[in-house]
Amino acid sequence: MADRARNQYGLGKSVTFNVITPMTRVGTCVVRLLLSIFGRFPSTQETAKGLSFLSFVHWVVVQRNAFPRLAADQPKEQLNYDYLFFLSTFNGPWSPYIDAFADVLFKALDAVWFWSIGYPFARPVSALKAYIIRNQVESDHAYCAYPGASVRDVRSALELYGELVRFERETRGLTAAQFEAEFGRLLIRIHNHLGSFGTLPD
Amino acid sequence: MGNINGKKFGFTALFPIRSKESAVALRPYLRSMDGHPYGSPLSSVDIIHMARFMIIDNLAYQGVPAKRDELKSHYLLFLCDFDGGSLDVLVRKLVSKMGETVDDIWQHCVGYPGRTYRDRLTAYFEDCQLATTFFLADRPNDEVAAILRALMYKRRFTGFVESCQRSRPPDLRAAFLQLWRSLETEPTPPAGSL
Amino acid sequence: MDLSDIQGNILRGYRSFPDACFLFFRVDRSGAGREFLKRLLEKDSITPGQWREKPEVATNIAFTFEGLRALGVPVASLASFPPEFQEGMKSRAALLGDTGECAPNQWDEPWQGSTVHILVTCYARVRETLIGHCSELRRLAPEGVHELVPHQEAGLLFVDGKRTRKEHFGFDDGLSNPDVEGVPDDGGLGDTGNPDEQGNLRKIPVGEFILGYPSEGQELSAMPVPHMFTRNGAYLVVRKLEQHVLRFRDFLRTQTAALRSFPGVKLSGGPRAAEDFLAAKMFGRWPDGSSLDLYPTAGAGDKSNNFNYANDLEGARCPLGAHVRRANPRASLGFGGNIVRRRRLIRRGIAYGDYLPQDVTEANGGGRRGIMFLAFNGSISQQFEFVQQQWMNSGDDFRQGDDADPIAGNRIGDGKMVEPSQPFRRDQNCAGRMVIPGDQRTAREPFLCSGIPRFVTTKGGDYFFAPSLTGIRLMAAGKVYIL
Repeated sequence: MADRARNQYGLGKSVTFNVITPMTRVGTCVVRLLLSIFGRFPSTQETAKGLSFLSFVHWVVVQRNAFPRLAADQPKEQLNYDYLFFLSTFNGPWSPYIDAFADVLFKALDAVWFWSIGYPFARPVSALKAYIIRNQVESDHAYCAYPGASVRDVRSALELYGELVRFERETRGLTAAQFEAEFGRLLIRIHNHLGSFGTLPD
Repeated sequence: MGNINGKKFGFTALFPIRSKESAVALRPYLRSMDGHPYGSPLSSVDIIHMARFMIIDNLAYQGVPAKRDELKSHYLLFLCDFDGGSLDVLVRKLVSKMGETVDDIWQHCVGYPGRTYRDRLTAYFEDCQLATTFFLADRPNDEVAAILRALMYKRRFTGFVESCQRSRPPDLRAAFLQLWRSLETEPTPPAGSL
Repeated sequence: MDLSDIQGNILRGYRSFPDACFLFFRVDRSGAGREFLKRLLEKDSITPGQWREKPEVATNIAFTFEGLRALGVPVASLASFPPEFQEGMKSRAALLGDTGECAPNQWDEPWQGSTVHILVTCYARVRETLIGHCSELRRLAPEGVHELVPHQEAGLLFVDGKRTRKEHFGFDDGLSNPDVEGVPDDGGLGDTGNPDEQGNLRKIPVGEFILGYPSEGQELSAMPVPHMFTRNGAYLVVRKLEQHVLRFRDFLRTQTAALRSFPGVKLSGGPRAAEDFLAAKMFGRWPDGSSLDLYPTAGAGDKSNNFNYANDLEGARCPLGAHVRRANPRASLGFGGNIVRRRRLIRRGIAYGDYLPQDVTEANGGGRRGIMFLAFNGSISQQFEFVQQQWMNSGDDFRQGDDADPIAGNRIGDGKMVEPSQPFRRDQNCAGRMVIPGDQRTAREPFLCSGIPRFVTTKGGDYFFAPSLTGIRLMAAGKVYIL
């Protein structure tokens, strides 16, 4: 439950998801290169955004000697591997989220996670889920500034707001009858932005 | 790409924790933080979209032929997606808005310099920062306040459409403008309240 | 695939068996339970998917987790069944939206007071044979197996004196079931497969429904052990769903005045045109089965499945939140159908109770009615529970936010946009809302329904496992072994 943002009114829609996996030095080089390619070419990002349940995704590579050491009496880590941190925030239950990744983004997932020790490939998906479970770390605290709003709710609100601002500006000089007609057209434009949202019962 | 995407800064850091005893004390404290009315004391820092805390105390063993890694220290992972171009923006707000809670959390961490000198605290955060190799944000350019206001508009406008359907106001334009004006002057909902 | 080992009700529609009876049993002693199974097998009572000659009454059997345990299935096998099946449906009520009016403490017997161990379903070609058949089955139950009463009768509805495939709200039902690979055509109405990259419908791998075969994910679905016991079996979700027809008709009537004068709404002829229009928009099909995607203005008696919503992505014809569109979104969620293909269900539901004629009002609308919802799937959590939680009780995937299905969804708010200061309470009887999208081409504005009462309430049910004939034989002989 600590993985899910909430407030006093109920449970939020934002869930944190953390997977930490070991890599060899070669893996670190390749993954850094691949991720910078994904950063530059938007098609993978477009697909991920098309899934419409991811708020944020962080891929972080932590090399074995890069765990912060801030005092002489803090022991130095002696690790055999570098680590890849996958830290995301998404909406919805965990299992279908992985199904969707495996079905739609398996090439990108495989490319990046191939270099993680023990990674089984994204398909078939049950092996992937077992790997994730082994390497998943639960958050101790998760916060979202708008917990009752899913990714789609946020997008919808921003689009609706844009439409309303435009509408208010463009109807300033109209007659009452013209205004009513434009209002009707506005409603048809924004008809799928009128869903309810909010935190959910505990 | 690094830690920045659009207007958003994706800050990830690992803060080494002083001792196992500190970690044992810190974890239940972190887990109790969602008792706050807006879900977290972080809600007072109104530039934060999403954040998490996680204590990392071991690394999973993958099984032979992989080798086993053991961490000599525990680490506090803090991930924070906020509006801003630099870390200093976040640290300034953490100190001014969260006050003592910053001590309550970070006092357990090695090298924590306290809140008194902000530039030292920023330097501390930078020392513990990890470079994000790939940072994806769904809406890179929409700030927290904009999202909260938009959600407020969505709720109110939908209510307006519902009431217009139940009984059409004789002067639709006047009714709309009344709604509009009240929305423009309405304060932004507090972060964490929606 | 060995159809003679798979139970008949899974891959066959039993279309020519219009009357049914459901018997519920509880096993007090495992030896007696196994004896019961033995007797059923000796009399060839259990109907397989491939029969030598068509039975008079198709009989099938399924077991809850408690039932398997009571029959002496070893703990190591029981432990390998999925958690949702182990818990049973009653324990998962909150997750499924069975709260308030639908909570288990409001369920009918025998569901409320007991846990059913064995479900025996009997589908008859001719109603008169059903009573005798059920008596014979009861006689086969030895001392140590007792019946849980009352049993449940069901059957295709008579409407205006004629046998139909309508459900109680007046809609033709069972028009679209999965088109499964390897299954001979059962004379169904054009079952639907899953969309491919081009949006065309292709057959669905049988492993989505039957254990032991590759599924959409191109692997074997998780199978409890031992495999000989569970192969060719399937999970069966049973839900007794009461339909409140007067509530439904009253709600439609309350919206009529608003609809008749609504901008851009064109109602086709007939005194109940407004009610039919709204009902169709909520269902996603006209009462005669025509899909809104193909026939946006009026039904045309065409029950076919040649549609996939790909040209109606705004919901101008079939609202994004309409019932059949939520239950099976087809090509409307994009990605070449990749997102929806694991979420199909084989539905074998059948109505119970008498159809309520249109002129019946509150005063003399006695009797209870509804549907015995039966769905087969290879994974309860990935299929039935997913559809229930993500598509029936939530609208996010359809851009409808938290709005639940108008017909079968749960109700947790007051049917209006909820302000945060009004926290939800699960135990309240609440109302729902639905946005019926407008249509740019006809200038029809969106119509917001609010205060939608709960038309369908859960009155019982559970999660069952329907083993293969081999599996049943192993249980009867007490030979379900784990090494």
